[in-house]
Amino acid sequence: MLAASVVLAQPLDEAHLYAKQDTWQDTLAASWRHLIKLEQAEGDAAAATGPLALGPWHVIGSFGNSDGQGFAAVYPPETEIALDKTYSGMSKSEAKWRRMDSFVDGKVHTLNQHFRLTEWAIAYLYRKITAREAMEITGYFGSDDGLVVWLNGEKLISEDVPRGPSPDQSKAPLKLKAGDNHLLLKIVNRTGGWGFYFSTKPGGGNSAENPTHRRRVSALWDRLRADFVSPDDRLAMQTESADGVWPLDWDGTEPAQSRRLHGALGAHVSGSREVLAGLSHDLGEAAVAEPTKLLAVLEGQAGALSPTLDQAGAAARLRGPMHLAARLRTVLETRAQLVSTGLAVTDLAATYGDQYRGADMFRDSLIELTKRGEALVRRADAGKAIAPTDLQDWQQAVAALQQAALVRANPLLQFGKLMVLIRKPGGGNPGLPQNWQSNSSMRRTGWDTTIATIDPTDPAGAPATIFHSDKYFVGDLCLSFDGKRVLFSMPDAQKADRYQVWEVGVDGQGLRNVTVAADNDYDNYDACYLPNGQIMFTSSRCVQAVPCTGGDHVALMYLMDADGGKVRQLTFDQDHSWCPRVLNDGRVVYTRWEYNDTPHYFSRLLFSMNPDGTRQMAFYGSNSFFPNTMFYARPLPGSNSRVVCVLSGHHGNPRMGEVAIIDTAEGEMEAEGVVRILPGRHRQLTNPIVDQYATGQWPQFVHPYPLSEKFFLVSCKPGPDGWWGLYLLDVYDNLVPLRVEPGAAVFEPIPLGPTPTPPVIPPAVDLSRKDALVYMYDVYRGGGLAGVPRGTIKALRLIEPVYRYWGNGETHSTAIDGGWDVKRILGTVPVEADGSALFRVPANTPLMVQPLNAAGMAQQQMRSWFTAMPGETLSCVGCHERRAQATATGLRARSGVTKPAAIQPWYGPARGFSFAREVQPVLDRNCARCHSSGRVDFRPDPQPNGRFSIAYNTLHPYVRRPGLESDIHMLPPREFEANTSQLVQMLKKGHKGVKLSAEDWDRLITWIDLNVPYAGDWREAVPAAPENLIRRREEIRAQDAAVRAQQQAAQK
Amino acid sequence: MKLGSPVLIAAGVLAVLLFTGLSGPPVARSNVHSPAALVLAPDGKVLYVADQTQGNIAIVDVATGKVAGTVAVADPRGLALSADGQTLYASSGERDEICKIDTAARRVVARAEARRQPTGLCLSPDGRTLYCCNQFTDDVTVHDAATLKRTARLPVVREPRYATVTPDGTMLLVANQLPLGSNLDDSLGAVLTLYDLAGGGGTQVQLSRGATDVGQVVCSTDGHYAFVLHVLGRWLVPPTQLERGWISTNALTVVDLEKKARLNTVLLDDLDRGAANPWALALSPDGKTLYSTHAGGDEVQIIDPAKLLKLIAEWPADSLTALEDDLTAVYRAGVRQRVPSGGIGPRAVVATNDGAFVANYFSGTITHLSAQGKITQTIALGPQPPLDDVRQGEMFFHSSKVCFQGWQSCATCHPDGRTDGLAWDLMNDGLGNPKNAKSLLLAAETPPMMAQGVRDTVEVATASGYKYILFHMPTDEEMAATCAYLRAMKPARSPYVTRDGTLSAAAKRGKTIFERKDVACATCHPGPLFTDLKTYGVGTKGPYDDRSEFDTPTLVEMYRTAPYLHDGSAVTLREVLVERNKGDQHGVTSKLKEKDIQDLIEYLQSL
Repeated sequence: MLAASVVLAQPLDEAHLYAKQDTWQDTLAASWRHLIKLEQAEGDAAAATGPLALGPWHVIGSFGNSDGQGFAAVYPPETEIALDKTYSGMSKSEAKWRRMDSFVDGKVHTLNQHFRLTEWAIAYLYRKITAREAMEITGYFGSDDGLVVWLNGEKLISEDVPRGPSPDQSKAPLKLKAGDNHLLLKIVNRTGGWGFYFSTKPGGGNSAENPTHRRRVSALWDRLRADFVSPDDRLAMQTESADGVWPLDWDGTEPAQSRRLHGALGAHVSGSREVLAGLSHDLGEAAVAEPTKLLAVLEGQAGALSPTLDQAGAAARLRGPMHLAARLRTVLETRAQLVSTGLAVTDLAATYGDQYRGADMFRDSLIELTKRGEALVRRADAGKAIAPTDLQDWQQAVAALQQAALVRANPLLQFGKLMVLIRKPGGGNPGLPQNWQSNSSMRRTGWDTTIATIDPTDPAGAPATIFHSDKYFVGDLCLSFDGKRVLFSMPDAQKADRYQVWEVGVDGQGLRNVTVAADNDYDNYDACYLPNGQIMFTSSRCVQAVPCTGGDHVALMYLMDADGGKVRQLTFDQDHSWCPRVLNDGRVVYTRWEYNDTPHYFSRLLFSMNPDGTRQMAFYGSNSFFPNTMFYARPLPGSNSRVVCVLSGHHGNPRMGEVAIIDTAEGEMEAEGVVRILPGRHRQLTNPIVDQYATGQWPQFVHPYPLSEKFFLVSCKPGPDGWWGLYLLDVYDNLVPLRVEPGAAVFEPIPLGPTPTPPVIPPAVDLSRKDALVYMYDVYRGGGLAGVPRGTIKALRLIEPVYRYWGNGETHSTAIDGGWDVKRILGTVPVEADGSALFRVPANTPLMVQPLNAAGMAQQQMRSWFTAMPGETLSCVGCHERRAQATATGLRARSGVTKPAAIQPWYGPARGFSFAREVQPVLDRNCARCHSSGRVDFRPDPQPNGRFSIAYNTLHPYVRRPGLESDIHMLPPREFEANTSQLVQMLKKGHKGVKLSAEDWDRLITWIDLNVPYAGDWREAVPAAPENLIRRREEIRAQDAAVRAQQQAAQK
Repeated sequence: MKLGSPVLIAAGVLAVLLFTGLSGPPVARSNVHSPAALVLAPDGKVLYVADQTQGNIAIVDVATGKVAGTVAVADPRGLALSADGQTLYASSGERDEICKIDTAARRVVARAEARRQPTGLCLSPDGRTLYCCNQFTDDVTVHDAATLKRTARLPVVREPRYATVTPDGTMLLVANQLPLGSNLDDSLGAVLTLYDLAGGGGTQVQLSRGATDVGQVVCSTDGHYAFVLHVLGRWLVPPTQLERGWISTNALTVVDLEKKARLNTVLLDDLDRGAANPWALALSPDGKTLYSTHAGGDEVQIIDPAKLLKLIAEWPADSLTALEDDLTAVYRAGVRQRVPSGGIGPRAVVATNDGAFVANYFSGTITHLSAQGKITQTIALGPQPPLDDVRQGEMFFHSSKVCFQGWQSCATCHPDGRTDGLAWDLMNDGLGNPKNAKSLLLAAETPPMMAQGVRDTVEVATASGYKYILFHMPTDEEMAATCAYLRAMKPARSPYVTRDGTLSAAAKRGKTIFERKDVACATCHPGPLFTDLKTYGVGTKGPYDDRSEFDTPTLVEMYRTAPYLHDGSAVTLREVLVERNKGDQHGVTSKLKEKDIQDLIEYLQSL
C-alpha cells in the first residue's frame, strides 16, 4: 500500500530517485517507493527487449560415469549442440535433448527425477543467451557432483568434486558477445543426489543481493546522511538500519515497516531485560531499579501499540518508544561491558601484579565511565532523551578503555608476534567447510590467503607475510613446538590440485610439501605436529564416503614421519576425524564423527588417543544430544581435562558456533562438563536438542586459542554484516577487537614462539602384529549392564562395520532402518564367571561389542565401535563405565586365566552378514513351505521396484530393534533383547509345529541383534558395484606402514 | 582384630651411646640439604627442621627466613615439640635413638635408645609421654617425655612411620606404612593401628583393600575422625594402562574413631592427573583446613575436612561407583585445591590457621603457603650444591613428573627402593600370574631382573619400568641417574643384629645351618649377594604360572621384604622353609628340628 500523499513529480530514472521530505524517514520512504517503481519499469522493459535474454534450459542424459572416468570423457554435446538429435547414452539408453522450463534461475534443481539412470551418470545442460551488446556478467553455479562450464566453447570451470548442490559454489565471468551465446554445463554424478544451480546474480537474484539495487539504495542512504546531519538523525539512521527497519527488499508499504519497528522495540526491551538480569546479578537489584521501571513503561507502550500496526501513522507512533528502548539497551549493554572490563582488570591485576601496568588508572576510568553511564540512565528515566553524542562519546570511551586495559596493557598479549591467516574473499563463507564436510569438498581455488604475522596490540600495524597464495585455499595452521615451522593445508598443482600438507619456516623459508605420496586421487590436510616429531594428519585416502551424502569424502586420521614417510592409518571410523591437537599430557584430542544406529544429527564428539593411535577413547560428549558438534578443541594451559572448543550444529553454520570451555572432570556428557559458554557469564546451561545448533545467532566464533584459562584469542564475526576478525574473548564476557581487515577474514590465531613440548608417550604398538589384546575387568561394572544379574553374560559378540565407498550415499543401502554400514560378524569371545574377559582381536578394525546371555541374545547394544592398534593391549573397566570410574580395589579378575581367548567363529569365517546368505536358508527350511505368497511371503526374490528381497520386506516388521535413529543416550540393558520381538515370541509360543534347530534360532537372533542387516557387502548393497573403488581402497591400504610391517613379519 | 595389651618394659634403658660400625645409610649422603620433618614453635616464630642428609636440626627464624642455628642429630627423621616450645624431641634413624633438645640452649640434653630406625614422634596432649615409631622393629615405644625412659613397647603391624594421639589423650593412632599379608589374599591392605591408651589394647583398622605406602595420620580437633594418606593400589588387575588410575590411585581415608572403623576413602587424584606419593598431612589448629603433601608431583592439596565429611555422608549408597573408585568425586564436590609446593619432594608439613609450612626434601627449602595456596615465603636451609647422579636419581625415582599424567613414581611400588608389599601382574611374562614387588636393593649386582629373569640388567629393567609402568620415555640423563641411585643403595642394618653388625647367638647357629651342604641353602644363595644369579624350580610354581623356574633372589634385608616367594604367597619365613617346602625342593629343610628352623630364620632375618 503506497501512501497516498506521495506523488512522484520527478521523472522515473535513477538520477531523480531522491525525494526530500521533512524527516529522513519520510524522505527515504518516498525515494524508496520511487525506486520500486523504477525497477518495476526496468524489469518490464528488460522482459520486453532486454539487454540480455536468457533462453530456456535444455537437458540431455544420461551419459556414463560408471568407471569414475566420465568427468574427462567427451560426450557428443561437447562437440555439437544439436537440440533435435538423439544419442546413445549409458547402459544402452537413449539420450535426447529436452527443454526444461521448470529450471528457473536462482534455485537448486535436482536431476534425479528427470532420468531413469542416475547413479554414476552425467547430464549436460544448455541454454542460449542473447545479448544486445557485448558485455560481461557473472555466472554463479552449483553442482552435485562435478561441474564443467563452457561459454561459446571456452571451458570456464572444471571441478571434479564430490558435493551436494548449493548456490554460489563456483562462479565465473561470462564474457558475452553481442548476439547469441551458448552456455553448456556438464553435471557429473557419482551416486545419490544429482543436481545443479545457476544464476547471474549472487545469492540467487534476491533483490537484496542485486548489486544495482544495492548500489541505488546505498546512494539513497548517502544522500540522506548528507542532508540530515543532526546527531539524533544520524543515530536514528544507524539504529533503524541495524534493526532491519529498512531491509533491501522492503516493498514500500507502511505496515511492513511498522511491524519491523514493533519487532525492534520488542527486541530492545527483551534484550535490555536480559542485560538487566546480568547487571542485577553483578550489582544488586537496587542498582537496576530505575531502568527496570523504564522498561516496564516501554513494554506497556509496545503492548498498547500492538493492535494498531496496520493503521496509518503506526510507524511514526512506534519510533519514539523504539528509539528510546534502543538507546536504553545500548546504555545497559555498555554498562555491562564496564562490569566485564572491571572484572578482567581486577583479575589481571591480581594475577600479574606489577607486570600489569596501569591498573589503578584503569580503575579510575571505570569509576568515571560508570558514573557517566548512570547519568544517562537517569536522564532516560526522567523522560529525557539520551543525547546521541553523550551516548556515543561514552561508548567510544569505554571501547578505548578496553583497548588500553585489556589489549595494550594485557601481559598475556605481550608475546610479540601473532600468526594469523588473512583470507580473501572474506565475505560469504571465507573457506569454512560445511559441518559434514572437510577440505576435499571445498573450493580449491579462487582464494587469496596470507599466513601473516601481526602485532596483537597494534590494530593498525602492517601484517608481515610468511606465506601467500593468490589462488589456492590455505589453512589448518599448526605451529611446531619450537615455534620455528608451520604446517598448513593447500592444494598442490603438481598433484591435480589435491590438498596436501605443507610446511614452511616462520621466516618464510624452506617451503616443502610434506605429504610425499605420488597419488593424486585423494586429499591430505589438517596436520598436527606430535611431541616425538611425527605428524598426524587427516586424509581421504581411506576411500570412504559420508554415509548420507556419498559425494563427500571422509577424511580419517593418519600418522607420518616428519619426511612424509611411513604413512599409517590411525582411525578406522565411519565419518571424519577432525582437528587433531596435542593435549598437555601428550595425548591427542580430536573430533570424531560417527553415527550407527544412533540419531545421526548429534554425534560429533571429542575423542582422545595417544600419538601412536593407541587408547582411542571418548573424551567428551558420548551418548549426548548436546553438545551437538565440537570443533577446534585445544587444551587449556596446565590442564589435562579442560579444553576450549567451538560448539556448532550438525547442519547449519559451517564450522562456527559458540565458544565453550569443557571440563571433562566435571562430567562426560551433555551440559555436565560444559563449564562456560563465552560470552555468557550469566547463562544457565541446558541440554538443548537442536540440529542446527547456534545457527542464526550472533556473534559467531571459530578457532579459539587459549592464552590462559580465562583469556582467549578467537576469530569472530559479530553480526551478519561484519567481517571475520580477530578478537580477545574472556570469561568475563569481554569481546575486544584486535584486528579486523575489511574485505578479508582473519582466522586461526597462534602466538609465534616456542611452547612446551608435551611429553612423549612411549609407543605401544607392534606393527608386525595383526592383532591386539583386550582385557575387560568386569563386564558388570558400568551402566551398560546395570541391574543385569552377575553370571548372565556368557560371551561377547564382535561385529565389524564396513564403511561405504566414495559416491555411495544413501540411508537405506544395507538395511531398512538398520544402520548405515555393512556389518561383518567376526564371532564371539567368552566372558568368565567373574565378568572378566581376555581376548585377541584383529587390529586396525572397528569393533562393535554385544554382551550375550546363555541364549546368545544381546543384552546391550554398543552402537559405536572401538579400534585397537597392532600389538596394543587395550583395557576397560566394564561395559560402558563412566570415565571417572576406576577399577574396583581388592577384586581379582581372571585369576585363573593366562591365555587370551581367540575369537570363536560364528558358523564359518568372519563375513559380512547378508540376509540372503544367513537368514534366508532358515526361512527356506522352516517357513517357506507355507509362506510363499500373499501377505507373508518368504520368497528370496527381489521386491518389485525395490532393492530388498520379498522375504526381507516381509520379515523385518516382526522384529523389534533399535532401528536407524534410536535414543542417543545409552540404552537400558535388554531394551532390545530379541525376546521383545514378535517373531521370537510367536515362535517360542509355538507356531504350527515349527521347531527351529539351535543354529536356526541363533541365526535369527543374531540377525535381530545386528539390527536386521540386509546387504553383507557393498556389492550387494548398491546397484552398481564400485569395483574400481573397492580395488583402490585395497591398493592404498597395501601401502600402509602397518600392513607392510605385517607382510615383512610374515615373510620372515 | 585386637592385639594384646601393650608390652610393658620392666626397665627402660637410658643411655648416651657411642656408635661404631654403622651399616650404610639408606639415603644418598652428600652435603645437600634434605628437610624431612618440621615443627613450628608455639609462637609461630621459629621452625625446627630435620635436615636428614646434613644430620642436624636447623633452627629457622621465620621472620627473616634465615637459619639461626643447628643442632647435630644424625639422620633425623621425626620431630616433636613440647607445648611450651622449650623441649624438642628428635629421632635419629641411623643411630636408633631419641634426642631431647633444649631449644633455648640449642643442644641435645638427653638421648635414649629407641628400637630399629625410629621415625615419627608424637607427644601426648599433656606433654608427659612421647611416642616413637620404630620402622624396622614394627613397634611404637612409649617414653616418659621428661626422662626419655621407655615405659612400654606397643607392637604394630609393619614399618610404622607416623603416629598421633587423640586430643583427649585416650588413643594412639599409628600408621603402618606397608600391608602385611599373603598376595593371594584379595583383601590385603595396610592398616591403621589404634591403641587404647587406657589399657584397652589395640585395634587394626584396614584402610582399604590395596592400601599401601601409608603416609601421615592426623586426628580431627574434636577427636571423632582420623585422616590418613595412602596409596590405593589397584593391584589385582594387570597394569595395562595408567589412565584413570588403573594402576595406582592416591587416597585419603577417614576413620571413625568411635566405631574404630573406616568411614570411607576418597581419591585425591583427578580424572587425568594423579596426585602421586601422598606423604605428609597436617590439620590447622582450628580444624578447618587439612594440608596434604604429594611428594611425587611436588604438590600440596588444601582440603576442607567439613566438605570432605559432607561428601562422604551424602555419597549415595546405591551409586554404581564406590567413592574410593570415583576419580572426580572430590573435584566435583570442590573439596580441595591443588597447588605447587614450591619445591621438589614435599615430605613434611605443619599448619597454622593462616597457612602451612612445607618441607621440600630435594630442593632443601621450606615454603610457606597461604590458606589460598599462594607461596608467600621460600626459605633455603643453605646453599644447595649441584645434584650428583645418585641424588638426582633418587629424585627421579621419587618423582611422578617422569610418569604419564603423574599417577605414580618408581617409589610408589618400591618405597625407599624396596617393596610395597603387593603383587603386580606385569605384562612382561603373560597375564594372570602376579609377582610380588621386589626390593631393588642389590638389583644391579644380581642380574637378571624380575621374578622370571626377563630383563637382563638393571638398565634394561629401569628403562622398561619407565616405559611400561610409568608410560614415560626416559631421557639418557634420567636413565643414568636412576641407575646410579639404584647402584648406590646400601642395605640398612637388620634389627636382628647388634649395632656393630654382630649376629645374635641364635643367628650364628642359623648361619651354620644355612651353610650346611645337606641343607643346601647356600648352594643357590651363597654370600655375599646370597644368590648365584641362576634360575631354579623350587616347587613354588603356582597354578597360573606358565613356568616353574624363577630367578634366585638375594636374601639381604629379608627382614623387610615380606611376603616371600615370587607370588608373595608366603607371609613368614617359616612358611617358606616348612609349609611351602614339603618336598625339600627349596633346600633340604624337612629334616631340621624346630629349633634349627628358628635359628635359621633368625639368621635369614639378620641378613
